[in-house]
Amino acid sequence: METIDVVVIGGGPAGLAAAREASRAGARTLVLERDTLAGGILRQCVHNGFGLHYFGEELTGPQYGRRMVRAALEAGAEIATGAMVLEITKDRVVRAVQQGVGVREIRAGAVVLATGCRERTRGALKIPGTRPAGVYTAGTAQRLINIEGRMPGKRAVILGSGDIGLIMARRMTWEGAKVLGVMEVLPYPGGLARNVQQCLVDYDIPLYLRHTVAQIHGRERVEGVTVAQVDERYQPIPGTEFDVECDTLLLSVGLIPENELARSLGMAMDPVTGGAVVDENRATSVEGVFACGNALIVHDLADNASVEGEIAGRAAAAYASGKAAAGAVAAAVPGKGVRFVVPQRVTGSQDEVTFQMRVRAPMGASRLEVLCGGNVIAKANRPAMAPGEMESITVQGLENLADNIEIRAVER
Amino acid sequence: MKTFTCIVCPVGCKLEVTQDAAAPQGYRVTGNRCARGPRYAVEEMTCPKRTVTSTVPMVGGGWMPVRTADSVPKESIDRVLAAMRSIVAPREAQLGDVLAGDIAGTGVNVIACDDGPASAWKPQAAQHNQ
Repeated sequence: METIDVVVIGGGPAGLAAAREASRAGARTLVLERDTLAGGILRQCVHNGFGLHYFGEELTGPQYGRRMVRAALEAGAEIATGAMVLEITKDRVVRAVQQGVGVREIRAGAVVLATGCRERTRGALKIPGTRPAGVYTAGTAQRLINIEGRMPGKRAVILGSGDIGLIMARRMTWEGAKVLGVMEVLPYPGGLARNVQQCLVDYDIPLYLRHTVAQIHGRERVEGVTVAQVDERYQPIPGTEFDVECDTLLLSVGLIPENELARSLGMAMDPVTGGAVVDENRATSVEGVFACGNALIVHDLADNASVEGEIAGRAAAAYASGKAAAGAVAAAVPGKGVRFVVPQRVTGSQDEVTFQMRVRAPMGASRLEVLCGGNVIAKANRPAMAPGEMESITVQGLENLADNIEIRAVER
Repeated sequence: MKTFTCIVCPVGCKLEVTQDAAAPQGYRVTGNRCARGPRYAVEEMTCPKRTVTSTVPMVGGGWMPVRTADSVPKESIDRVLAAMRSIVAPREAQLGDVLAGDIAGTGVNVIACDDGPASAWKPQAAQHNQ
């Protein structure tokens, strides 16, 4: 059996940042990446708009991914591609199969889960109708076009206004397809405002808010969809239906953290985020196992996944070198107006902790408040907040916590 | 007055632009949270620009992601995309290599966004691994 200080599972921005930081801290580090190349989903995100915070310049996804790969390698990390992890045991033996190598069994000092997320599919939506070819998740269409060089169709309707759907509306338009509209059940778009502007408004692609695809038509191939307005419970309103002729339906209806390995370890999970429950070092409830990136919470920006990877990588290296992890002393819970808070636990081992959260509904001028024992210990004003945009607040002086932390969003 | 969403960063400020001869560049801009907002707003009013990204085939198979090194006038996007279709990337291409100069007469280069499979880039081995 091989022995490695830190094994990182997943070679996207979070995993690569974790590997780089673990290596810099002196840990012998191995990244296990399932795809044929490292870089994660950034590889297929050929559009620009990445890295403004992290690199201080605007990059495309592949540029960002390549820089992360180079930095991890330069720091001394080893990256194994075509390597799929089958199992992790509680005592951190990682079993993987790797192309051209075979089975690898690795005893890891610490494990970082950076397995990313996957897309919600048609099955999760229960759209009535036939089951023809031509229904894709937006990310699958993105992979087909940008990695495999194939167009999924010529006339497309997009259900859901998540960022990938918006980006794909523009990408398909640029490749000669006609995008007939983006349907969103909520009264506001799911993706970033700038993507609504530069991907839809720029190309006169209509965004139908409070609308859904009520039915899919076609036997062999999608021939059209029935679109309908929805009521407060997101049910189609009879009489509002109209048909759109199309050969492709893209789904951009949400991302789900990928946590099969975490669950097999019996890890404590947060039912709201779909990821592990972690402390500020991104330590999970399983000794020596850390989690970061979209496997933990679905981030808006790769930059945030990278920053989180750094935290997990440093903590994993420290753990692997025998520095005992501090036990959690307090919980951080969502209060009024907030859906979730990550990290969910605080050990007090860091001088300052940045909490990330999403609000429940769009708010105008508002304020985030961090409470401890009924006292507001930190607050920050926001001109506006929306569920589609991750909020964060940094809190200092959490070393001697006596009470749990609650974070709430209030109008001002 | 015109209103639009700033696309410079993920914040997406709602910019309000009013023609105003007294203002520095002929426009008064509000709603921005940083200095890049007014710059973008004036450009959007006078000569809107966008970055164009795509993929081009690689010699021997596979695809290379590419981008315009800078933003190009919005009305040239179709011409830029058409011109990008005739680019073939060498397998030796490295991150940032110019694959086509002055694309579609815009004065902007098209660059490689990744290392090709035969790229010469190799990591400087880290000290503690020696």
